[in-house]
Amino acid sequence: MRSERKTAVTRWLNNNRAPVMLAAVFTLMSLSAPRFLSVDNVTTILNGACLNGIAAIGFTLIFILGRLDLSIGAVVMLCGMLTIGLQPSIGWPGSIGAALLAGCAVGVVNGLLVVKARINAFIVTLGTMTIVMGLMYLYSGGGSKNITDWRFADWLTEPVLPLLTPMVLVTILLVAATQVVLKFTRVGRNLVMVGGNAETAWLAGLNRDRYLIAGFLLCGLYAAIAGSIFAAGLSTMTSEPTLGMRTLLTVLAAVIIGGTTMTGGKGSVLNSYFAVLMLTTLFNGIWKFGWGFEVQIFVNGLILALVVLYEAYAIYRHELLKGLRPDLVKEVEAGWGAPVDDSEQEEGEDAMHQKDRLPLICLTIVAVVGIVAITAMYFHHASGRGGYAQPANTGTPAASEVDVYTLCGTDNQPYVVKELETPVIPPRPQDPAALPKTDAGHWWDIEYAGWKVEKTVMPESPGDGPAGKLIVLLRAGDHPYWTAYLRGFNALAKAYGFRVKSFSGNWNIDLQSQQTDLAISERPDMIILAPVDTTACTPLLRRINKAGIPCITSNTIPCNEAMRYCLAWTGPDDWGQMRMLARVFADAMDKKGGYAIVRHMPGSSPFFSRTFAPVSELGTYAPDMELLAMDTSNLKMESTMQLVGAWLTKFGDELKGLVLAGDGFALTGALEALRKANRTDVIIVAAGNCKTGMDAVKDGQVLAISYQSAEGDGASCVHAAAEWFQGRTLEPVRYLRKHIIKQKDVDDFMPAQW
Amino acid sequence: MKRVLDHIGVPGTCVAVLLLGCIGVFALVTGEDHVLSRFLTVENVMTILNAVALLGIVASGMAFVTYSGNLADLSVPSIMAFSGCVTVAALPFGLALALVCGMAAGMSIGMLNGLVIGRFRANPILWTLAVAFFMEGFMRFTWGNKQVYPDTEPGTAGAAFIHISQIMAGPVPLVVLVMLGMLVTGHLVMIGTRFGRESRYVGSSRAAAETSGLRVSRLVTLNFVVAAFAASVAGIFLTSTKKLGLFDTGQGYDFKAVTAVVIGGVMLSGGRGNMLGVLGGVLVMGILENIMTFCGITSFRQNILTGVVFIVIVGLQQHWLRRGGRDAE
Repeated sequence: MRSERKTAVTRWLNNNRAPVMLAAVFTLMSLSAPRFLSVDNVTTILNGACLNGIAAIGFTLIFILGRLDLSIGAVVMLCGMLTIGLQPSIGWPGSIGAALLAGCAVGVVNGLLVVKARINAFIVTLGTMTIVMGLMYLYSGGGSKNITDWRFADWLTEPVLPLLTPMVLVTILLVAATQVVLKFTRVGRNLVMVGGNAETAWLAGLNRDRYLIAGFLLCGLYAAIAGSIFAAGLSTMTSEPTLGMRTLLTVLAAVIIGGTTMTGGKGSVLNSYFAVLMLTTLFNGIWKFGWGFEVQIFVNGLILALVVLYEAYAIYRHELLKGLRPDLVKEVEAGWGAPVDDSEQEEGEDAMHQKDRLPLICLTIVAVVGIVAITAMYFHHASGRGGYAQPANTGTPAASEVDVYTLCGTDNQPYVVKELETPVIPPRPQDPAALPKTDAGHWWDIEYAGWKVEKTVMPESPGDGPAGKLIVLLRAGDHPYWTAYLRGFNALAKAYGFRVKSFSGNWNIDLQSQQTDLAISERPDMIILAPVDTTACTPLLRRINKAGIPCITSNTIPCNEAMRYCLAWTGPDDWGQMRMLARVFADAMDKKGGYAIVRHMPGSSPFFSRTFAPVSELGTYAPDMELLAMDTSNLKMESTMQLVGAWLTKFGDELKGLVLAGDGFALTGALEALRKANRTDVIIVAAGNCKTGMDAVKDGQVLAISYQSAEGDGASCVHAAAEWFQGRTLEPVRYLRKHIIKQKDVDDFMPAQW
Repeated sequence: MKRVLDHIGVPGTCVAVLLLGCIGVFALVTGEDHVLSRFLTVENVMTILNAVALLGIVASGMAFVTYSGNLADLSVPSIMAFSGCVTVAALPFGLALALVCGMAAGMSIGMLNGLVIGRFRANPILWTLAVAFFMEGFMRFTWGNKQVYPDTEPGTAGAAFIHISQIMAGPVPLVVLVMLGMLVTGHLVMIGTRFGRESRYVGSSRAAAETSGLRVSRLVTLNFVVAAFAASVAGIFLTSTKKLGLFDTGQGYDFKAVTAVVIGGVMLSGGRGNMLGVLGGVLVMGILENIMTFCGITSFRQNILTGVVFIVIVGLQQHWLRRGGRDAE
């Protein structure tokens, strides 16, 4: 009796695990996380769950049908891009309609390939994922799109009811409608039957193919809705691929946590939505604690692993019992303690014990490896080589004037310099877009963004100095560059006596948007935003500005529109540095010969600056030089190796020089390709400066790299913030120190920052 | 002739057809003799082999997972990154020990995967995805989001480690030899050993294999360990080439390896295909990218073409199998 009740409770808990987990996480975070429980924060969570929540509906349906759709992330991005890109010409209804049609089209193609061509759904959607991603890039050209009409976005994201914005209402409505259809209509129940048992469904006279195609269509449609609403809510869309990939993975995790099985026939749209909410709440709480992306992804993985394990264990138990039944029958037939059975059983048990030791062995190995690794790392760092020594003079917090100009980073260069040259800004061409891409004028609005912008109403400086002020840093993501950035940031913040909180957006505009709300609800004295995307940061800055919080942007230069909402921007002069680098390059090439460019990742601002700054500069400075090819390798070592290798074969001796958008893995790959082709005559310049690039310059393999100090980047925005708090007026754009590192002065910049 | 075709299998034929077609199109498109002659050179073949060597190594292991009916191991990138990082971190203890540590680290993840999937029958895709998640978090945390640089002073273990990726056996780099070696070994294991045959059985029908007394859970565990072994080797090579360890080393190799394996005719449903096909699949991916770069097709369009080619090849394979009456589904 008791065990029966216990089973019933367990079953209830398992069937409703998503809401139960949501309640648990919410309670836990409310009790422990600082400033978690507030109306604003709950709205943030609900808003943040819209994209994944809507995409999860279609994904649940396709799981119920026993199939899989890996293309939803790509569809989200394509449809978001279409919504924003088409809006200026055909208005909101038209653009959203077109985006939804595109989503449906992808869904139908998926469905037809799975049903008619009978190819495995995993393969089909893996293929369409890359295809749709390529289409998205083609449409966006690797950049972002935005619109300046905010009315629709504002309407979508302002609460109409307590806690609920129209965006959330649409999500809830869609979830509820789909759930009702699935549970209470014949079509919905048929869909579950097709997924659960195709044979029964066929016997019941259902057209399996039709349901499958409809399932894929709906999956594409919901992904399209998710993308459109997300993009419309921001009035902008990025082509940074992380957004699509993370959406896919988060939705996949959420749907499984929600109790939908991959084998089909079981699932609930409502539970999927609860699971999405649970994950969003969890991430929100983790950020509130000030933990980074590593904790977020770790916990996400752990929860997913536990759920998968539990499900597997449940089936395993079930099978075990099922498997024992014939034995029981045999035992009863043969009488108790039949000798044959005994020996078999013992053998089985032996095997079991043997197998049971395996986890222990595994754990031991993992533990040993972990300990060895950490010890090795300790020795490695302690030996001082390759490690990062703490800066000798971190300075002490002082309330009054601090001489920050004497503070030096790990490369023994000052974090910030006093005297900065004022750049010469050429006049803006009449119509930049009409000029060819190889003309510097075409890029004027991007290169000189912010200089001539009329700012909106900005908060007044309190004028009482930086000490004790709270600043929140929204950094683009975690990367060795950003680790160094944080070092510089913290060093200066400490010197000025700032209090600091930092969030990592992991190159995902969805996360950064939520973190912006989070940062605002902290009510800091200033927010420093290192945007994930030049254009897509506009709504975030606008939100910060509306909340009356001063904001400085850092690192990636925002577009003109975004610059209106922030006090200033500090960061590397990517265009200027690349022009300097291009001149050095041209001089070394005697201003002639063919060259090629390995571009940065699409969706990032250097994708343009580190390509077209050298192209346009060389066009005027060394017109005889010929651009043979340019392409992105996503800064991956292997892709660059393949790309450069193919170029070397194709162009042979014509290829005399390479401009690389990065001096890390892209440089390693290019050098590998050159080494294998036995070419030593190719002149290389790269945007820098990490250890790989510095070592290569020192060895003479690379002619020159640009000096982009990560620590200086981090320090510079704090410096500007401190000046603002002291009541000084900031210039709209403040560049870092510009320098080109060559072999003769590379030692001055050693050891490398990252 | 038919028997030969049968032996090489559909994938082999596919590869040949595709190659010839591509080269034909290519010649038409460019219409320049000297470019074509450059394409058909030993150097270019070496470039392609070099570029796909790591993918080939990963795919040779991944093929076993797919072959035994476990779809795919999505934790491959984290295995590669982990083995690489641990190797670099353990270099102060000497090169040999570091390599052993790295391999052990990578394979311990494979063991964990195999145990859970083999013993408890967890869904392979979901479980390995979860492992990839928490391993990424773990590595980011352990190494503090930094790159792990080996000490590359001449004469140290670090220098020797970096040198691994640069060893040449005559004109052929070591990594290409390792790829070919692993594919050949994999082929022999797949067709010539009891383990291979039993894996095929498990892949064809797990239930049948279980009822006929095979130790299925152990087999599946071994399959994942093999995949992790291959991924660890690739991870160490990749780290050695990159000259540093980082948590996102090996990013993208999960789907790339599945693509190569599936193009090569190893069916996701399990129990079908062979290693020669995998080699074909790996080569197709390399050659396709090489040709597209040659034709001046940018990476955005390359995405689209790769996706189309992938779906078409796999679709044709399955179509032929069904037409030959060898596949019901």
